[in-house]
Amino acid sequence: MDFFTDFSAFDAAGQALITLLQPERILFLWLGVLIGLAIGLLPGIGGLTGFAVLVPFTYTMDPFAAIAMLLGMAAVTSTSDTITAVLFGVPGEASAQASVLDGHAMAKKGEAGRALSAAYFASLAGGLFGALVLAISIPFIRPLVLAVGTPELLVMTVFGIAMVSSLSGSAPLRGIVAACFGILVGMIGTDTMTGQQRWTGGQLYLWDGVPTLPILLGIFALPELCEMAIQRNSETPTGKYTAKHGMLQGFKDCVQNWFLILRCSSLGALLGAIPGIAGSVTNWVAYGHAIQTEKDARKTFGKGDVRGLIAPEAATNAQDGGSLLPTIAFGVPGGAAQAILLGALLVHGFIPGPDMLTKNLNVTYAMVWSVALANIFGAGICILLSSQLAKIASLRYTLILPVIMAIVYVGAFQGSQSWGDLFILLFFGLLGFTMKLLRWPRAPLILGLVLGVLMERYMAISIMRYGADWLLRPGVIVLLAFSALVLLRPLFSEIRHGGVKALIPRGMPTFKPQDLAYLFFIGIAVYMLIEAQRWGFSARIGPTVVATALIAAGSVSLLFLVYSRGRAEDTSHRGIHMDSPNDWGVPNSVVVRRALIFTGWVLGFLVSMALIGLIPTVPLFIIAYMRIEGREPWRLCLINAGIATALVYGIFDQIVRVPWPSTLVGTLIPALGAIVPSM
Amino acid sequence: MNLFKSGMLMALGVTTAMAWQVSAQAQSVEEFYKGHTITMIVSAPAGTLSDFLARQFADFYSQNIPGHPAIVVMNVAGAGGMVAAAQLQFNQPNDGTVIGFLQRNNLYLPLVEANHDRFDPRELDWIGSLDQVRYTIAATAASPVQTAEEMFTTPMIIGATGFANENRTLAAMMNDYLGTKFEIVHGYTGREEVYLAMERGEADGWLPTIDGLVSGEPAQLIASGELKVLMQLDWDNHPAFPDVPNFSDYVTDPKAKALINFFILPFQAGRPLAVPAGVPEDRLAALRSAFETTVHDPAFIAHLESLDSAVDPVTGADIERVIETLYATPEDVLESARKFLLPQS
Repeated sequence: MDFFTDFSAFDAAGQALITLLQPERILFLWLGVLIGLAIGLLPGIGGLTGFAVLVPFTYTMDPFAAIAMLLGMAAVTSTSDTITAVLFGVPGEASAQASVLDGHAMAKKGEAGRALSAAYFASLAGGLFGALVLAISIPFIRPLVLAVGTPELLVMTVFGIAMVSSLSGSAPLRGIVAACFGILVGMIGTDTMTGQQRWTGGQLYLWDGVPTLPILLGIFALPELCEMAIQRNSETPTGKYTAKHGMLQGFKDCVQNWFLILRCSSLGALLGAIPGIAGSVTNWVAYGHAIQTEKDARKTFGKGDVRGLIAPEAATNAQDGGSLLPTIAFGVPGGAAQAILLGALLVHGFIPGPDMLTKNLNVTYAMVWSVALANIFGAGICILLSSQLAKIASLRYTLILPVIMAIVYVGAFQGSQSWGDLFILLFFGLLGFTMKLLRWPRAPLILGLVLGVLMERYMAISIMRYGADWLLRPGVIVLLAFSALVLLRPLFSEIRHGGVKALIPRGMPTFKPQDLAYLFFIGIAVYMLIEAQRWGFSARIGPTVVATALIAAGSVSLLFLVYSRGRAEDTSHRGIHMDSPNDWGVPNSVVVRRALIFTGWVLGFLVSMALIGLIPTVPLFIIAYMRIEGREPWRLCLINAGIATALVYGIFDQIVRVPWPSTLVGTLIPALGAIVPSM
Repeated sequence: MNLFKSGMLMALGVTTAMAWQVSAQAQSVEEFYKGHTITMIVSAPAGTLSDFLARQFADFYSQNIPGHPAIVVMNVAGAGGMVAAAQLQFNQPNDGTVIGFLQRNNLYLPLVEANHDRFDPRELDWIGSLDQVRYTIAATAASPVQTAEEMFTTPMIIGATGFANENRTLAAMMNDYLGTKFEIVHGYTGREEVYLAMERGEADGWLPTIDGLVSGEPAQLIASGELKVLMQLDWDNHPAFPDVPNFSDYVTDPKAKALINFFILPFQAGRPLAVPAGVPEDRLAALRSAFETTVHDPAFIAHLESLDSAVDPVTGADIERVIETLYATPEDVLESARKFLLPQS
């Protein structure tokens, strides 16, 4: 290996470190890290917004300082996004969805400090591993990436989808229904392959597809907020551990599970290198992997098992390093965020490609160091603060809920900056809450949403280019076999447990109101299936297959359910339900009343936004909620509302320059609209 | 209050109001822009090449508008730029405080698609365009086709991005009207992915723009012989590639000619700027002349050159001529064009 005998690479690495360690560059790295941590904390506002905010400032900066700041920011958002996930069950970013399940369950058991500490150490290890993978693969990047053709990318997405079966826990068929539903939603919009507008109903808003952000927030954040409003406390019992003890225990957990961290970090780095696969999927794949491979995971995951938190945390931080591989070596952005980073690099005259591995090797290493140092700084800050942060969980819900909700709205609005985003947020919020209530797995929906369209596109390219020959490529065969094993495991275990007989329904059917959920999914699939038949073959084949699969899986699952009711069955072999349990400790009538009140607040926010605009709504909403729900003192209300409003105004009105939709008051009284931001 | 006094007061009031109105009318362009900020709506997301160019341009442009108003860039992405275009036409004030940085497909897609949200480029006033676009066909060293002549006899795999993207539609049109033997594989997300596909042998070539060939990695590939330009997709050649054949060498059929013209005419308005109809004449004239000054400003040209970009400006009047010609396209030509731009069942 020339690389290891050739000291120029080590020289470049050393030089890059020295270049980066200049005080003002380190300062910008710190600045990036602080911004990244703050962004990770805010639900819905992720690295993409961060890049969009920061990149225009970097056009005139010293290139190394610019790289340090941008990568510093990007590398740590997936460290701090765990905080809200663990404490409130609301993921700070898409990459922290899986951390909610076990992390939040731990917090409910009074182990918030331990959970946060374990998550940070896992993030740190993952982040450093990702940087290391990036550093040592520099000499092989190009041959490595070149060896992977579109068919291989296709089967990697298939492998990701196959994880649905382990993420569906005790309800594999429901998981398939949810995944297919996610794929169908992902297919809405203009099809890149045929130009066909699929299910857009002539709405310009839907041309580019349904934005992912409001869906993620709807499915995962709103239901948790609703639960918080139902339970009326932040439900964290006083800590089981002292601050120091919790921190130490989290560290020990990571050391004990070093091999899991290693595996998940590798998985994260690998998935990161595939363009289009984002953190929103990686964390679930890692979680699914942990369920499959860890001892007794099927019994304890979802109930506050620290391994269920460590696995996704390590993977998402490792992903940042991995996602830089194709960006640096070929200029192929791993996602929308990397695309912006790429633009910033080009502005500074660094052209991705062979040059980055020879002439500009020091720049490449500066990127590696930036990622590594940012992970150390970011995790360091978080670890130092973790005992303090854990205390936030004990705050009253009336202080936390309105602020998070306002931020969720603003975050969802970043999807495509139009009203449609908020309707999507509400629709999927309702769906997410119903799914959680009726024990439908939610993760498969997200996997389908992100991976479905990628799969369809890669499949089309593979067939156009190779015909059926793509199936004969060795990498394809191996990965397809793996995927089949993962996917069919629940079926095998069912047959092993009860023989083929177990698959045949008998007895009398019993229906219950919650079976309507099946009708909802099947009904939508039937409608979409019928609509699709009007399109050309290439545009309808994907939707037809997926919708048919949904209808089939949904019908079989429903059939099983209605026939097996009333029969006591041993279902322990199926594992547990992969979601946090619904145990609210209040009578059902109270649950319904509080859920309705919460819905009223949710809708009230929208009405107010239509009347006076988003920014004036934020303080109004926070104050109203705190006064009416909690009778909080005015002073506290004003401070809370003031901080949140200043934040939203500063970032979104002044820096991002969000084009706010027109409002009723602003239209009626233009003079007022001219003064008040977003009115 | 006696009648005389109130009459005086009324007269005074009327005079003041009239005087105020006169001063508003007489407000010069400079006075107007001194008190206002211009919002530049960019129809692409933050961080893209269009966004970057718009922001670079805005800094210089504001210096050349009387009154030097600050220009704030706002990204309104969506539906291939159509969201921004439609907003500019229907929802934005027409006092000269909002300028759109649009895309060339806004000029012709409304003609071929029924479903375009009623946007009509003739309803805007055009200021100018920063650059012009010129397409070519390029092949890798490993491609079975190495000359323009061979395109008509030997199949080659052309990598392309989206279905309605020019880098696919032009190739498809050439297959149908010129008899080339391209096997088009589209669906790659961007030019970087196409280059990667070419490097790993998944594609033999693609349709790059000259902008994209004269700098960056493609320029190096051309210099080293790993990439070869086979043909320019225009009626005459750009000075960067003076010797390759172009459409005039192969196209004689008037039908093909008309269709090609429909496709390549909008390229003259690569990145067009516009304002909503009804902006006061003097302000529109000032915005147009400031555009001319900026694009010919040596400092701006040098600044873009230092960033590996070039200016190839077109005036607002030229853009309006392009739109006029496009809208005079006969229905049968539009029908042929739809075959390449709209989904086929």
